[in-house]
Order: sequence, then C-alpha cells, then structure tokens
Amino acid sequence: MSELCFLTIAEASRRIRAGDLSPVELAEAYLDRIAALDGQLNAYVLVLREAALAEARKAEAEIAAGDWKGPLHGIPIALKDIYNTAGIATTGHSALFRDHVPAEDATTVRLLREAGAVILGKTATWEFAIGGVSFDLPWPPARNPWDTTLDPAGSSSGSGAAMAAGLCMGAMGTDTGGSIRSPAAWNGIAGLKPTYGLVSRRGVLPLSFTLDHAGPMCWTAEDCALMMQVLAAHDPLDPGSADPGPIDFAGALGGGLGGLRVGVVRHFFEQDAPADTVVVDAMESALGVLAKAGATIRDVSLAPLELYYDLCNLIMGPEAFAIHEQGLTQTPELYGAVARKRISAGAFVAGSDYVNALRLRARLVAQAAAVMREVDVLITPTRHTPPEPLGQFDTMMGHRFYTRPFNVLGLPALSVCSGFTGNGLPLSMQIAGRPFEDALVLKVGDAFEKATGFREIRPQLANAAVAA
Amino acid sequence: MSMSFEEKLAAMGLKVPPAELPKLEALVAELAQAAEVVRIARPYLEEPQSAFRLQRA
Repeated sequence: MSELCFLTIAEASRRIRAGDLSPVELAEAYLDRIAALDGQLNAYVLVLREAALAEARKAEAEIAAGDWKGPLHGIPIALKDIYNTAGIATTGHSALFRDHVPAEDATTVRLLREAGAVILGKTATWEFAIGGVSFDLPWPPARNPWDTTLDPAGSSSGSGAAMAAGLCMGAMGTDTGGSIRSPAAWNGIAGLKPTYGLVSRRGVLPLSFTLDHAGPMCWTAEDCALMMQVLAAHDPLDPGSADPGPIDFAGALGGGLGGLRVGVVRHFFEQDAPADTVVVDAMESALGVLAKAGATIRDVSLAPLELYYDLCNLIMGPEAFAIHEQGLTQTPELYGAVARKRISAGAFVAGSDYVNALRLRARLVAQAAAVMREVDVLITPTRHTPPEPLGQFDTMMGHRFYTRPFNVLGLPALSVCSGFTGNGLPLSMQIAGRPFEDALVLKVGDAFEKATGFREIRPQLANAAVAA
Repeated sequence: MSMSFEEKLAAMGLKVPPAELPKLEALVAELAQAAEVVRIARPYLEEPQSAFRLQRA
C-alpha cells in the first residue's frame, strides 16, 4: 500500500471526499510504513498508532455522514516534537523535557484537529530547535531519506525526513533561522515559513520570541497552501499574532505568472556566501522556468548577508538564553552538548547590543520594503550545498546560507526543490514575498513545481518493498 | 582585574564541561564581533523593531 503514502494532500483529499479513499486505510498504510522504515530514519520520536487510527475512524464516519470538514479531513499529519499536544509528551527532543506532558494542544494542533487531520506522531528535532545534529540525546538524530548517511538538516529534521520518505502526508515545522526551509531543501520537499504572526506560536516551545515562526512542510507548495488555509488564523493568545483578515491560499494558485516581477538577490549566493556551482546552475535553470511562465527577472540588492546573520545571532542569543536560563543554571546536565553551548553563548550579549540589533532590524525591514516596491518576489537558493554527511555540518560556526534574512525581516519564504545533483540529491530554491503575501509565494512555487518534473521523483529507501 | 572566561560563566551560574569551553568561547567571540556592527551612530528617536502593543479590552 505504499503508493497511498506518496499521494499529495490535494490528491488524497479529492479521493477521500469522493469516497474513493478510506481515511482508516490511509492511516494504516502510513503507520505500517513507519513501522517498516523509520528504523532507518529516526524521523519519529513518538508514533501515536492507536490514537491516529481512532481519529481516522472518526474522520471516516463524519465524512460518510456528510460532514466533510475540508481538505485536511482524514489527512495524516506529523508534528515536530515542540508542538504541545494535550496529554501526550512534548519533549523538544531533550532529556530536560522527557516527561513534559502538556495539558493543552498548541493552537495550531487544535486547528488541525478541528479540520479533521489525523495526527500520526511527534517528529525528531534538534534539541529545543537549536542544537544541531546530536548523538548525546535520549533519541537519535533523524537521517536523510535520499541517503541515510546524510544530514536531513534542521531543526525540523524529523518532519522533513518523514515527509520526503512518505511517512506522513504533511508535517508541521518551526523556523527561527531557517528550520523549516533548510530541512525542506535537503529533503527535497516544500516548506513555508509564513509571514511573522500569520500562524500562531501559542503552545509551541519557544526559542526566540521575535524570530520564531510556525509553518507547514509538504511534498508540494499546493499542499502547503491547503495547510495554510487551516493554520492562518489570528490568535489573541499569541502576542505576536497578526490579524490580516481572510487569505485564500488555495484559490490563489494557478493562472500563470504573467506580469510577475522577480528580484534575484544574487549577491547573497555569488559574493556574500558563494553557493556550490550545482546549486547556482539549478537556480539559473529555475529562473528560466519562471521567465518562460511569464515572469520578468532582474537582480536586486539587500543588505549584506553577514549583517542579517549578525542581527539574528544578537537577537536569538539573549532571547533563547532568557528562556533556558533556569534550565542551564539548575540542570545543565540535562542538555546535550551542542544546545548547551549554543544557548549559553547568548548570556554574553549585552542588553544594549540586543536593543540596538532590534533598532537596526527596523532599518533592514524598511530597506527590504523599498526593494519590494520594485519586485513582487525575491529569489535565492535555500541552501548553499546539497545535503552533507550527518554530523559533519557545523551548525554553530562559519557556514552561511540564505534563510536567516527572512526571519530577521519576517517576510514569507518558501523553499521548493529546484532539481537534483548528478547523484540524485535534492537542490533548493527560496521564494520570498511581501508581508502577508504568502499566497503569492505559494502560487510561484506551485507554478514552478507544475512546470517541472521534480515532484515525480521520490527517495528510494532500502527495504522499501517491505512496506509495500 | 578582568575576569577569566570561566569566572564569567561561574558568575552567571553556568556550568559548562571543560571540553566544551573552547567552542563556547569561539561562539561568544563571534557574538562580540556581531555586536560591534550594531554599535553605530543612529538617530536618537530610532525605535526597535519589536513593538509593545496593547489590545483594547
């Protein structure tokens, strides 16, 4: 039944609504595939088999009774294990929270449940969404389904790996410096960091209050749009929540790209932090696809990439330390080494430097807004390389890629698969838009995906036949 | 007399295994370098991006 596990949400939803696909059969297919294959990937830290089957049976009965709730009804979803789930452990992949059982669902989890989604389980993450690949935590790090010796990137590593491997139909990630888009890039899937404030973070373990975003990770941009239709809702319990009014994400898809003005932030990946040739070549081919679809392409300039990194570090550091100060001073042994170092460093940022970083951030927001009066979307690669060996990529020092500017700016940014290396590893492209123009970003990603054949290619896991 | 890195950690109540100190010190040095970038002349009235917002009850 593994072919069921490679349907998109859009396809499965049509079949479920028509009565041609049973949510119970679908959930069983995923649960069996997880049981057969996740030992290679470690994508899940907790599989909710009985609860998921109960939810699927409930969905099936509701739909049979004519109460179809929308495109996520009966769709199997995975949650990064920093989303609070009522009565179910939410660990942050950390020994510190091994026994943390929240009383309430995160707002987004509640919205997904209300939409009829089936929660398959909780996925691996870097510790508290900041650590990096760690081997000293209660659960092993997730591996990349395109090659299990490779890093799936993080911090939403399990969600990315599970999505690409057909171990869920959609997943939730979070993104403070690129943690949705990086694993989307290295797992060859679509991942949206929405506009800051568009999706509630209430009940999601925080890392950095002014940089944290919650968002969907799916096989396609279209599926991200279907999830955003449910997830984008003003939440008075999230102080960062915005209220832009209704947005029709799914309805915005299609219709071509005629008149679209694309700005390529070329200095990011040619001068500031040069990307691998194979990444740049895929980028250029992708721009050709967009031009053929009717877009006009020009180069634009933002502030140097390094400045965004500096601000991100100065803001994230003290915000993360403020959250973890109690844990790090009282029970430091319950953190893994990588998270302990990364979070402790934030203690050394002076208060004035933090505030002045936020003042400079306001300037960069204004500068980007001016650039985006001339173009409708910005494009860069997402990651500067294809996936690298697990445990080799140093999350702490030196390496630069292209996600962080859009956390500092708060703009919507989508990573899509832009092609493959000669040995079949995924490459990535990032599409960013104006505040609350997430629907346009998804429309561009969807048009690109539908103009190319990259969504037809899935990772081939060893022993996958076992799950068939 | 200036404090050593280990003394600063201790003053903040942080306990970090000795093997982790070199990397942590390098991370702190990177943050110090980043801080130089924001220590620039700026308009007196320039507000930070994070805003304090209240909702009408």
